[in-house]
Amino acid sequence: MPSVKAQSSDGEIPEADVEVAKQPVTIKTMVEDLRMDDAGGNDLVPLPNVNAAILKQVIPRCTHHKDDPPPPEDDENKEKRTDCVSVWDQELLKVGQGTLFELILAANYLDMKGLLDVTCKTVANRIKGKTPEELPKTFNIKNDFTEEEEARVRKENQWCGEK
Amino acid sequence: RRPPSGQHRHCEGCFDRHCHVPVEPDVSCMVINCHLLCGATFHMCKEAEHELLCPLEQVPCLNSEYGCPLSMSRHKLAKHLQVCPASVVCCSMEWNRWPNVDSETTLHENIMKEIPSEECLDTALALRDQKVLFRSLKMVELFPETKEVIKERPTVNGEATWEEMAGAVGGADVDLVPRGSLSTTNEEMAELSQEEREALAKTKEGMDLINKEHAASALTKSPSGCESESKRKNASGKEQVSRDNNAVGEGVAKGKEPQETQKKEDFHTAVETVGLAPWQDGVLERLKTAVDAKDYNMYLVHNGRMLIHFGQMAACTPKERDFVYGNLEAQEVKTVHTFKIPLSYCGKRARLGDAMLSCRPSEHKAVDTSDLGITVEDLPKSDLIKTTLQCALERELKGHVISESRSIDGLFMDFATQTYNFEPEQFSSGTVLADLLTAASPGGLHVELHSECVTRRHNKSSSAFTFTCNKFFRRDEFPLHFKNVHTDIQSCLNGWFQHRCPLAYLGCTFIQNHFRPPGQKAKVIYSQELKTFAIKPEVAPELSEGTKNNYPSGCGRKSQNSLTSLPLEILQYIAGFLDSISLSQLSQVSVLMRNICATLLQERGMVLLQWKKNRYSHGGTSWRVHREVWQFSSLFSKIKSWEFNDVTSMSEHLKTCPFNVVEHKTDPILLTSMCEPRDQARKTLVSTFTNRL
Repeated sequence: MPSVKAQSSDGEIPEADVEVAKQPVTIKTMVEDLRMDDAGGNDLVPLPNVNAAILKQVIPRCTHHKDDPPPPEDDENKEKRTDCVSVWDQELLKVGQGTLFELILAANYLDMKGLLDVTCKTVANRIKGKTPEELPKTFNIKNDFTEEEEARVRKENQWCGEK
Repeated sequence: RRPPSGQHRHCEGCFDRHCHVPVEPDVSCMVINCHLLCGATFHMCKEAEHELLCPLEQVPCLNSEYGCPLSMSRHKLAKHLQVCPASVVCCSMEWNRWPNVDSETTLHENIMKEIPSEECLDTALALRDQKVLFRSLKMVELFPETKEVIKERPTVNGEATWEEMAGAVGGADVDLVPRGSLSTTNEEMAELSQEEREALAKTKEGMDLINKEHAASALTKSPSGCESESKRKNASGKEQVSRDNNAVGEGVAKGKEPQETQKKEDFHTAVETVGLAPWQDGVLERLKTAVDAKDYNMYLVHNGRMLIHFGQMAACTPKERDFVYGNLEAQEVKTVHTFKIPLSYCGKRARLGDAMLSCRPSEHKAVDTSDLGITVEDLPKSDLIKTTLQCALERELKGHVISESRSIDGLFMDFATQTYNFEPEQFSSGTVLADLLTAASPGGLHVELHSECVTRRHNKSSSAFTFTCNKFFRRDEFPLHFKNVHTDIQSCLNGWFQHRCPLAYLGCTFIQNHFRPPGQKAKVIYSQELKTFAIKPEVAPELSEGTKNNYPSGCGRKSQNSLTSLPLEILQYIAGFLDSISLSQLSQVSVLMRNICATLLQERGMVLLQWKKNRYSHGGTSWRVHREVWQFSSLFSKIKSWEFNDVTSMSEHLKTCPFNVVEHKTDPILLTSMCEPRDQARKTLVSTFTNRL
């Protein structure tokens, strides 16, 4: 079956089945617009923003989810829940934070809504339940409030607007 | 577009969508469609009217005055109200807790010896309730004898105070208090009353002990009050008695020299000596000077007919019409000034009983303790916390009463039945139990672990301490909050949601959580900072370490681990998955996170109005909206159903519980059937009755 080659930022060229490869909308657009599926498997899809390691994790996910129905349209009022991550995805995402963020960026670049949802939900789950003291440590966020701002925010976590 | 001053003659009554009447100025105009394409067709002059009800017209939210900034098509208004940020509800859930004095003290001590775990939900909630309680128990209210003596404020003359307080309740009544005639201490009195008003609003008993003279004079109402009024009346002019026929003429002074306790005797003497029989001329004038208003009125009630008959008093209706009203008893019509309710009654009606208590005069009596064999100084000091809690619930908790009322000489007097000796001898009026905790045991649990739910509609006027939730939620969040927090978790803490070891009464602190949210692993915690329950998803510890660099290439991209390295729209997308409570936490971390969360305020947050009291130079006050305050509520993600946790059976713990001391009996024990002699005749139920027959 026809396959597509994608070149990662560090030069590696993992191969993938074209059906699998078309899941990321970016690749799908490239393939269809440049009519690469007609030609032989010699043309490369350049992916300068994704490195090989991440690509190697994205491809299995695409394979696993290739028969999934397209995600429903975003309903404005539908509550965004974080507990509907499948077990398979949970296993896949048992990675360090750096990798997780790379996956998010890759999913964003490749326009893969499913992967983006799952990775963002995972990060959200890591944020939930933590105090403002624990969060900076977990996510390496620097506290850049001034002293008065911080005191005000800790005392009353509000945003005030003049009437 | 301003509507024309009058509708066109034709158009006013025309609703024909296909009207073809030719256009004429001031008579008719052309038919148009709604420019928003809602489907309506009308004459052009009615366009402005149509805008008032076009469903596609952009209008502000119905709650725009309450802070909601959104505008939308009219037909979406109702749907939006469900999620409007200005639609805010305050949770009124109440629960009660008794102080623990005797029961399960070992357990409480053992619990406090350990580091409090956020998963130990009943303990965490009990500790929070205790903190709230200790901050609210004012020492001088419970132990008035320990109040530290401070410099006396100048005592105010009772009569002027009456006027000032009267004015304060009903609004500035300028006519009643001509300022010029009052003494120079008016300003001082005015200030005192203002302070007093505020103190009344704050204190539990509605009265400050120092100003009990004010209260006493106010509450003894008519005599001094009327006296001051009458003095002023006579100074400023005579009062008119309005009636149909004004025959009694001059104004009525409501009694010049009131006698508080002896009014009855005076009245009687007045009748005998001065001549107050109804047929005697001038009786009413004499009566007015002799007795106060109350007795004057009683006299009229009893002797009215005779007074009218002998011409001392004119009837309400003229004599000529007596045949119509002949059977009615004539009454003199008098104008009475509105009774101004004393502030002490207004302030705290429900606690009227307490208010009366504090204005009774008190006297210290010594009790002979010589038979104890030790000096007063050596008497053991009362435990501050236990005593305070007991006295706060004096009626309910085992009947401890500080004092009991006894009737002596027709008056009720309170006799103290207990006295308390505390380490800090004196308390200032604002001291609460929480302030004294450093002296007493700081880390104790003095309230029961389990709570009860008795709503305010039940009769529990002085039962266990009551705690309220009082948190704000958006209207659509409130049912979720109530279900998850109060119904699922809080009400089920006693033995359903969490199980304690059966030997907890002996002191075992082992506890198991039996439920968790569905889906991925998460635990329920109590957050002391947020004072509410929260859900904490379980993350493998090595994954949540932010400092470890798991990045394979390892080329020093430490900043890549930071959440802030992600683009803004991704951060916003992630934030969109967070529940309200997590948003409020995340917004306290850094400026960037705060701004990200702020973008979600309109969609997920709520807006409250902050009011400010404006005082005017003429003494009046009014409340104005000061500003809008946006915040996130403390709601966590909705939990529709709970799953069982994988916990081992309690019997596993009991095998190793240190309090599970098994008693092995080695001596033989007689069974009950072995105790009685066997040769006794066996009695059956039938034989019991046959013998009697």
